[in-house]
Amino acid sequence: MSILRLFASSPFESLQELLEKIDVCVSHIDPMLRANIAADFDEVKNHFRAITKAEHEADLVKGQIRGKLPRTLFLPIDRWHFLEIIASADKIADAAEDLGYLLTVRHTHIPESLTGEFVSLMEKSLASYALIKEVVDGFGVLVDAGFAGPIAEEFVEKTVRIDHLEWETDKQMYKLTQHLFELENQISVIDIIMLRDIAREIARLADASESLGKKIRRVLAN
Amino acid sequence: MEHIQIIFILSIIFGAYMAWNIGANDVANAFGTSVGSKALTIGAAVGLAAIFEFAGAYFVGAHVTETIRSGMVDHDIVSAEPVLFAIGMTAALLSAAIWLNLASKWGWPVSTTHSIVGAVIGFGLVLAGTAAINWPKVWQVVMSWVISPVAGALLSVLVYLAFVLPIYRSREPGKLLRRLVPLATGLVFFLLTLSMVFKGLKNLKMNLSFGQASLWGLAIGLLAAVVTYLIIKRIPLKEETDPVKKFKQTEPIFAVLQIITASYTAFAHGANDVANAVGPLAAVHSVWKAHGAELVAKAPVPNWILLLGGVFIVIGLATFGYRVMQTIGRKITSITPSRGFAAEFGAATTVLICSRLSLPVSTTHTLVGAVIGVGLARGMRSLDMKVVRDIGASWLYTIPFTAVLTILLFLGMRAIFGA
Repeated sequence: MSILRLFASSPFESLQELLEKIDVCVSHIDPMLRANIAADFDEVKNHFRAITKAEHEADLVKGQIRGKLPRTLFLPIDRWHFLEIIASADKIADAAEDLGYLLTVRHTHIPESLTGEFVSLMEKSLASYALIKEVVDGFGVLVDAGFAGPIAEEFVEKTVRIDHLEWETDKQMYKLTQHLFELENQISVIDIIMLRDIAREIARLADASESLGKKIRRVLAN
Repeated sequence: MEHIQIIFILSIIFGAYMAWNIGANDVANAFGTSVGSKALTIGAAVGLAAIFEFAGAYFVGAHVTETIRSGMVDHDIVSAEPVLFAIGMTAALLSAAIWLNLASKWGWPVSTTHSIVGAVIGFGLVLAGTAAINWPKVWQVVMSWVISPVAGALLSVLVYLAFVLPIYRSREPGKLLRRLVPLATGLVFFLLTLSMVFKGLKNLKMNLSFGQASLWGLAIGLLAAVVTYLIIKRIPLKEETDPVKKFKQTEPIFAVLQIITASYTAFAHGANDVANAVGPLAAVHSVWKAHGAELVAKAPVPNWILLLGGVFIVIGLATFGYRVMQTIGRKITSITPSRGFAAEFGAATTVLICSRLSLPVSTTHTLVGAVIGVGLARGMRSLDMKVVRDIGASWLYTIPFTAVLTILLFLGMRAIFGA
C-alpha cells in the first residue's frame, strides 16, 4: 500500500479541473451578450452571477493546486512554469467575469448597427478559447510524451493558430471601435466609453487564451 | 510431545501466517492498477495473481529460501545446538510478523524481506555473538538492497526509452504498439520460463542446462507472443488525424500489456518473497527431520514447504488481498498502463534475477526505485519524493527492531522450553 503514496495526486489532473470551472465561466459569455442585445438585463445579471460563482470555484481549485506542490513533489516540468500556466488560465475566467461586470454595472444598449460586429468579435474571441481548451485537454498526454514528437508538434501548431486568431480579433476590435466612434453624435459619450470597454473585454478573452498558449509553448521549448 | 515437535508446529503456524500476510498486503500492488483501470475484474485479478504468485513461489522460491534458511547464520555453530537453532528461527518468524503488523498499522513502508533478515541476524547474534553471522553473505544481501532499486531504475529507464517513449513519439502509435506488445510478452514469458526451468525443476526431476532452458524459454515465449498478437489484433484502431486522439486509442492495447506485466510482477514477487515466510520454517524442518542427529548442510528445501507458502499467499490474497486491490483500484493514481509498464517490467526483472541469485530483496523498494527512475526520465506525471525519505527511515528502524525483538522472543521461548 505504502508505495501508492509515491504517486501524489498529479497537479496536471487538477489543471483539468481548473479548466472545467473556467469553461463554465466562458460558456456564459455567448448567452450573456445575446441577452444584452435583446435588452433582457435580468437575464444578463443571471449569467453574471453564474460566472462569478464559477470564477470563485476556479480560485479555490487554483489554491488547491498551489497547495499540492510541496517541495518534495517531483514534476516533469519546471514548477515555476506550471504555476505560470495556472495563473494564466485563471486570467481567462477573469476576462469573463469583467465582461459580466461591465454589462451589469450599467445597462448599456448595443446600437443595432453594431450588434453584428459585437457578435462576430465574440465568436472570434471564443474560437481562440476553444483552441486553447483543446490544447489544455491534451496537456496530460503532452507531458507523457515528454514534450516532443508529433503530439508536441500538433500543440505548437495549435498555439500558432491561436496567435493568428488573436491578431484577427484585434483587427476586428479596431474596426468595431472605429464604427463606434462614427456614432459619437447619435449616442451618449458614456455609451461610447462603455461599448468600447465591452469590446476590449471581449477581445481580452482572446488575449488571455493566446497568453496561456505562449506559456505552454515555453514549456515545450525547454 | 517432544519440544522440537512443538517448535516445528509453531513454526508452521507462524510461517503460514507470514505467507498469509504477504498475500494479503504485498500482492495487491501489482494488480490494483489493472482493477482501477477496469482492464480486469477483481475476480480475474485475484485469479491471475494467485496463479503467478504460486508459480513463482513454488518453482523459483527455493533459491532465496535457501539463503534465509542457512545462508546468514554460520552452519557449524548452529548444527551444534539444533534445538536452539529451531527456537531462534521460530522467534525470528514471530518477530518479523509482529513488526509487520505494527508497521502496517502505522502506515510505514517497511519491507518483509528486511524484517526477516534483521530477525535472523538478531537470533544469530544472541546464539553465538558476531561469530555466528556469515558476514560475507549478510554483506552481499545488504548490498543487494542498495543495488536492486538502482538496477530496477536503470532497467526501467532503458525499457522506457527503448519501448514506451517511441510509442509516444510515433506518428502511428497504435500500429507500433501492436507490434511491440507481442514482443514484450514474448520476452516476459521467455524470462519466466528460463527462471523456472534452468536448474530449477528439481522437484520435477528435470535438471536442464542453460542452453536447454533457453530453448524452452524461446518456445514458450514465442507461443505467448503469438497468442498476444491474436488477442490484440482484435482491438480496433479507428482512423484518426489528431495525434492526441490517436494516442488515446492505444490505451486498450496498453491495458493488455499491463495485465501481462502485473502477472510478471506477481511471479517475481512470489519467487522472492515466499522465502520470507518459509525460509525459517525450512530451517526448523531440517532440525525436526534430523531428530537430534547432525544437520545435513545441503538438503534441498522440501516441496511441501514451498507449496504451503504458495498456498497461504494465495489464501491471503483471496481472503483479504482483494479488498486491498479494490482500495487501490478506486484511488486515482497517476500510474496508468503506459506509464506503469516500464517501471513494473524493470522491477520484476530485477527481482527475478535477484531471486535466481538467491538474494532476498525488497520487491516494493525495487519498484519504488524503478518508478523514480522512470519519473526522472520524465515518464511519470508527479512523484512525491517524501516516500523515499520514509523508506530510508524504515531501513533504520526495521533491522534493529526485528533483531532486538527476536532476541527477546528467543530468550523467552528458550526459558519456556528449558532448552
